[in-house]
Amino acid sequence: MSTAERWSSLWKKEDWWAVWLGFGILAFAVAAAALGYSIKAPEIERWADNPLDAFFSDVTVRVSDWPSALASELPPETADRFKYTRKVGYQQGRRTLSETIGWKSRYQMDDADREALLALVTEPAHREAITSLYEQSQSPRANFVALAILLVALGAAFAVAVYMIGENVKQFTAGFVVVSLLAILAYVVSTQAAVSAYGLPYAMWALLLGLLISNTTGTPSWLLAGSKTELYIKTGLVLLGAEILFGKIVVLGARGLMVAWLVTPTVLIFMYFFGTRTLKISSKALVVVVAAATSVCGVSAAIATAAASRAKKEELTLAVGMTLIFTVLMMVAMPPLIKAVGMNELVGGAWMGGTIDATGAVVAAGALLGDNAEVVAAVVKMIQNILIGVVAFFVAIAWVTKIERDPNAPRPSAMEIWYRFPKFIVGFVVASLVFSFILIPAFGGGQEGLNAVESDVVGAVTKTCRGWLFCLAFVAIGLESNFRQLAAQLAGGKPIMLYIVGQSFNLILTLILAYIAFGGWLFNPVILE
Amino acid sequence: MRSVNRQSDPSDHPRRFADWAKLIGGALLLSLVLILLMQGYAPPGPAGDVFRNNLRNRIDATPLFYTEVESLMPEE
Repeated sequence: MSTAERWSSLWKKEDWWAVWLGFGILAFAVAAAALGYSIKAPEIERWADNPLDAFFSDVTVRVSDWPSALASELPPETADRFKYTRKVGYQQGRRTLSETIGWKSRYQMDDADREALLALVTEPAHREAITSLYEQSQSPRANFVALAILLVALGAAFAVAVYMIGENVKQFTAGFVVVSLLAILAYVVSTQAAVSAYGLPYAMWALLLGLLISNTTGTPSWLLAGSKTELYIKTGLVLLGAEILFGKIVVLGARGLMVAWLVTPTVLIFMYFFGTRTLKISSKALVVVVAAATSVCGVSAAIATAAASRAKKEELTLAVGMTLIFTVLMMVAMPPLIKAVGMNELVGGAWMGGTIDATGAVVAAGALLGDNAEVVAAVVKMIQNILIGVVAFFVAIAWVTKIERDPNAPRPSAMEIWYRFPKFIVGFVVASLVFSFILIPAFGGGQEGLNAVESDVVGAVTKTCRGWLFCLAFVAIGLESNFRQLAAQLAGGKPIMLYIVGQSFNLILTLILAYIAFGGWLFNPVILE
Repeated sequence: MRSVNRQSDPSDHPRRFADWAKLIGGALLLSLVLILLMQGYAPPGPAGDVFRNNLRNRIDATPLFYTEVESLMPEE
């Protein structure tokens, strides 16, 4: 490769464009937050009966909107619970006032608290404040325009990349419009109240919609032109880097670290060798993607390692399909099992946090066991989430230096490794490091800086954009796959065997570590307030 | 082998019709699944405990990453 070609790859290669587009979105979000603009990327809202509700931002009164001064007029004990409920009520989702007052069982708001709160909010002075909040709640804002702006902006940015790469912009644009509409449909389905309770995410619906088209009428070429799977995934992964904040580790605690960081690499390595040597699965990329999905955190880890190991789309589809099915099964089965055997709530929480693949399912399963189990499960899973960056980085290094290397060829030079190294991983790592070690201090440092970055940059803009990019990618993967190719990947059930054996090993190892860390075997038992 | 990206062929109308029929049938099937899921059915006994709890407390079990879980993010 000549020097000119090496330089031109900066604007001609999809890999680099993913970095530039990801950095562009991150820079926009940071600038908006730093300048004090309150920008919120449009999300598809939860709905129950009418799908159109998904396009109206939920501005119903949140518990956190209650004037905190109300607490000063309550008896001290009730005031404490009021403050706690106000905070948790926000965290658990946007609830109306009446829902929250009626919602007492889960957060120990007893009848006395409930009566006190009801009396408080029905006082005329308070009623005025509450009424104004209610009035606000009666005028939900439509998200149509914001959503259109977001998708048009993303489409325009990708069109520039497509043009620079040298592909047909007109065909891409037509295809992108349809892929976007399918992504919106997938998101809308996944946010239906009951569907979200079952833990069936947008990724699954996006894949199904794409597969439905590709396996019936076939995907027309203009639609394939809009299915830039790699570009969407890699750009989304650069944004995901900004969500991996190392400051988070400091506040998560050593016990969670012990469970997550000892088990995760052990299971990953075990599954890799079991898959490649015992089961003799020919595609090492498929093995590592299934292993990462099982040991780290399901779909997001599968996406990151698939991109790092240049796995085929069908391999990613298979890994994602298995992880989605087993996530729901484990979310349903583990809490009753833990209750039935009388396992300590904290041990049970750590066990589920370390083994159930998807974060949302971990929180849901933990919630059934109790508040403490929910906290421990979520913390262990968050630590695993943070490991995505490390795993993707080392998988990319291993693939460039060992797996893809011709064993008869001379050892590649550092420059050769750099040219072959997937550049989006660089963007992913740089985003994580910049957000963790430059932006958090710039936003006030410590917990304050961490909260500001998480809420004003990540929560407000980048995680929503990343979600849309992953959704577009899954639609595109579905559009590019067919059932015969998927069936070929099953290779006599070996990937399923790999998942089951790996997950069983994960369950045993995590249980032992959970007992050591949280069961009082090695450390003093944990007491959560 | 059947290609994902098929070219239209005028002599192939019956197969195209069958393909479109399959697409419509698949879409109807997906819609039916969605309608069934929307009923919020939970199996009786412990097997349905998590679903019931999720439905009762409006817990979203779909997030793929911790930043998508509202309870794990700081207040805005």
